[in-house]
Amino acid sequence: MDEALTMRQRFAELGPWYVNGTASVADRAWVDGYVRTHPEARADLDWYASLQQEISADVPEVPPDTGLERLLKRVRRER
Amino acid sequence: METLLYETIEPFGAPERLTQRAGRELGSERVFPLLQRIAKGDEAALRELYLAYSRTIYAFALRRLRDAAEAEEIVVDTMHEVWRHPERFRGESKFSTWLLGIARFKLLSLIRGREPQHDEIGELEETLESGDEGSFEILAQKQRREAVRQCMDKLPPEQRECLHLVFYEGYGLAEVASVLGCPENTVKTRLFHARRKLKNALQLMLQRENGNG
Repeated sequence: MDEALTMRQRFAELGPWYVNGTASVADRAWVDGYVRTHPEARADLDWYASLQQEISADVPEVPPDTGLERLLKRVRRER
Repeated sequence: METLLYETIEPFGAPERLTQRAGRELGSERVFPLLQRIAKGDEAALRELYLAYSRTIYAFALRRLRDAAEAEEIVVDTMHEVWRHPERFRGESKFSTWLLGIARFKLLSLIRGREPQHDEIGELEETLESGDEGSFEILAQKQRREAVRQCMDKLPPEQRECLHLVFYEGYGLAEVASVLGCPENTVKTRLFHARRKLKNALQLMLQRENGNG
């Protein structure tokens, strides 16, 4: 397979994990190196970062005890 | 120049929200004693675990179901399962990963038999060339959230939950695969298609707003 294509595919695969912080040290270093030699790829990472920001903000905050009383009632009924 | 690029890239991978979320995950040293107490019928332990993880389950269920009441039901059902079988968690994964696996089973049971509800737009797949990475920047900030929500809703549910686990929970590849019960390559494929569809959907939205679509 064409080496450039293989590298692009690897970059595409690693992008989400690089942006969410779970890529390994070696993979992060690889992505950093790839972006240094392919500056246009930076836009891909920016896109994932924007997506992450919007997805993180898209779930309404609910009180953590929502539904708790219902669960406890169910538990007590079964005793 | 090289230094400059490094500095530019550095912020990725350490988003404040995900760091905070990771900090909220209880370690095994706290989870196991709570589960042992739950096994003995201790409601206070159940309450503590519920308060620590209800939002994680709720967010995951809501992303898939888009119904607040049903999402809440999934939280209750999932924690009920923990109450009934606390011994089933063996610490082979993070507790939240195990919990979301249960939640996913519950929500799939809930939606099984329903008609498919998502309205996947076929044109998103084919009509637009990918490659325009600037769609987020062009959309006004207040429009972005709504645009992302609309486009996410049109994704197949499996791709939507994949994006949620990666970008909301900040899970790694193996954890996402574990929750979804699929091979890691399947996760990669789902992410690839989700990204392409989202980009196309956002571009299409922009074109329509500009009167070009």
